[in-house]
Amino acid sequence: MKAEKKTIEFLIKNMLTKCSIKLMQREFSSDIFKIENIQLGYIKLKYDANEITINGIVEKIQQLGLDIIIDPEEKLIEEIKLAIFELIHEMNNASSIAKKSEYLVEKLNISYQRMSKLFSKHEKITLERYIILNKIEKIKELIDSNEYTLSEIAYLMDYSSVQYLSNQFKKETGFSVSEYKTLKIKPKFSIEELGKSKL
Amino acid sequence: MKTKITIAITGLNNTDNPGPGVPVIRGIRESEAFDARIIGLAYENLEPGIYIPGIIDKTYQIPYPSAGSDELMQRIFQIHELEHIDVLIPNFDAELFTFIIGKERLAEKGIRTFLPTLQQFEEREKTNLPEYGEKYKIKVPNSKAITSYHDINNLRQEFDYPLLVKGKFYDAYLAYNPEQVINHFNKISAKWGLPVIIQEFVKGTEVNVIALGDGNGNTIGAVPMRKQYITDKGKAWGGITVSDQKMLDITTKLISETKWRGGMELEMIKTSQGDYYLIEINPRIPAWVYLAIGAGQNMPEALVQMALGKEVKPFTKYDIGKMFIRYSWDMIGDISQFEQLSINGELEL
Repeated sequence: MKAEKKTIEFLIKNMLTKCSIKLMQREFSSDIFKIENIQLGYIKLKYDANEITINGIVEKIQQLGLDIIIDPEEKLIEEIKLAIFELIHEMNNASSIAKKSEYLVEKLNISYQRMSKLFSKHEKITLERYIILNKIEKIKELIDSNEYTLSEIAYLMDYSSVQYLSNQFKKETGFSVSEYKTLKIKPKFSIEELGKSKL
Repeated sequence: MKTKITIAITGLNNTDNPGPGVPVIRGIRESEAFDARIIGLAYENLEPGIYIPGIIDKTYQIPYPSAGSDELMQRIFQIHELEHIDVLIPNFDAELFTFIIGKERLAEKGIRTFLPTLQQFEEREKTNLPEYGEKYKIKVPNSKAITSYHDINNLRQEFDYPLLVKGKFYDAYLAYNPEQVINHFNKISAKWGLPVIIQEFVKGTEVNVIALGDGNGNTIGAVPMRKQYITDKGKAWGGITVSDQKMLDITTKLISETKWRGGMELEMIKTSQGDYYLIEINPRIPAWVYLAIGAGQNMPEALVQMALGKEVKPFTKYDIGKMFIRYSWDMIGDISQFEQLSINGELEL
């Protein structure tokens, strides 16, 4: 049977890291698909409609722990999450020409209040708490890297003091920073999981 | 015994967008090898370096390079008649072209320099960054030189927002939408002319290396620094020396392949994946050179030695964890000093 080529594009929920791009590339690497464009939170692909339905494609995406975004507000939530990821995980939060206070507002072009309200409406945690959880995961990564002193980490992650960071770290993880350093198996959460439950 | 020497230096603008003149002078003043008379060459009467006690022995006003290369060179020769300059250290990107093409004329008069060649200078220009990255196998961000508003409308096809808007010599601003690009385009083009460079915003930690090449492919010194605090102009207001072998490897490879001559600064972004993107090469000693001096590599002194034709042994180490923090300080001067420079074109404190 002759292939019936169709093109479809999706906005993808929870597709926040470069690993998820690789995962999608692997999932859609067979002959019936051709990825035309893929970036964080988005995929455009050509597929053979004789071989798979749109629902079939959606199922494949869901099996990866991701999901399709249909609601425009959900799309905005994903953009907020992505901007927080960029700010905290990729730009080390403070040490950049992109100032932390303005990055989210400027990038998304909406007020922080509206952002916060929307986030609470769609997620199980508040925006503030989502940012804290992201910071804690980044702090774990920075501690593990051995590249920064704790005072530098506190500065990068925008804590006014090492003590404040230490207290919040203990509260969120159950371990002090020095206890965490000695752990053989470090408790970490994937960025995609943050905010899915009241951690 | 210290060698008596007269050194002329530009870049005395110790503002929030500082020139390297004052820290270069501090390095020379701290040298065990030289007893230097420092001649400050100033473009503006209010360049703070002119008025800092103990930094400059005598300051002369010089015309901007935009007034014409010949006019600038004639003024340098005029000052040379009075001061017998041994070495000239230019510190502004915008004046380097004039001094590079004029270095033989300077040498004929006995004024020595230690500058990159014209080819080295031109190939690393911001507008040539993509070709540069390809030639030397270094990752660089997507960059495009634009000359009109019309180009701004088409940027979405090639770049994601936010993106960087940069002047050909100085200034860099982050723009989150086309309206902000237009604003920055107007500001930058009015100050530095066209083209304006649009650059992909690579997310990561900003790291820089100061280095000195001997012109034969050898790295005389190299110190990597991670920016700790960055101003809204993208300038490091605080930084720390770091141990980063990969950055040093990139630097020595580049100096070896280009046979770089003189001071340089590599500006890089280290991504969370551990990749390094070269975002800019400044063809001169950077304004944070005093950190390298504090970490054990007095590059201004080494540069003067090489300008004088002396053999310089490469620095083999530097202190890790040395930190610099800039500060502002109100100096009290007298209007007569300003008048003297303004009316006579020269000032001796």
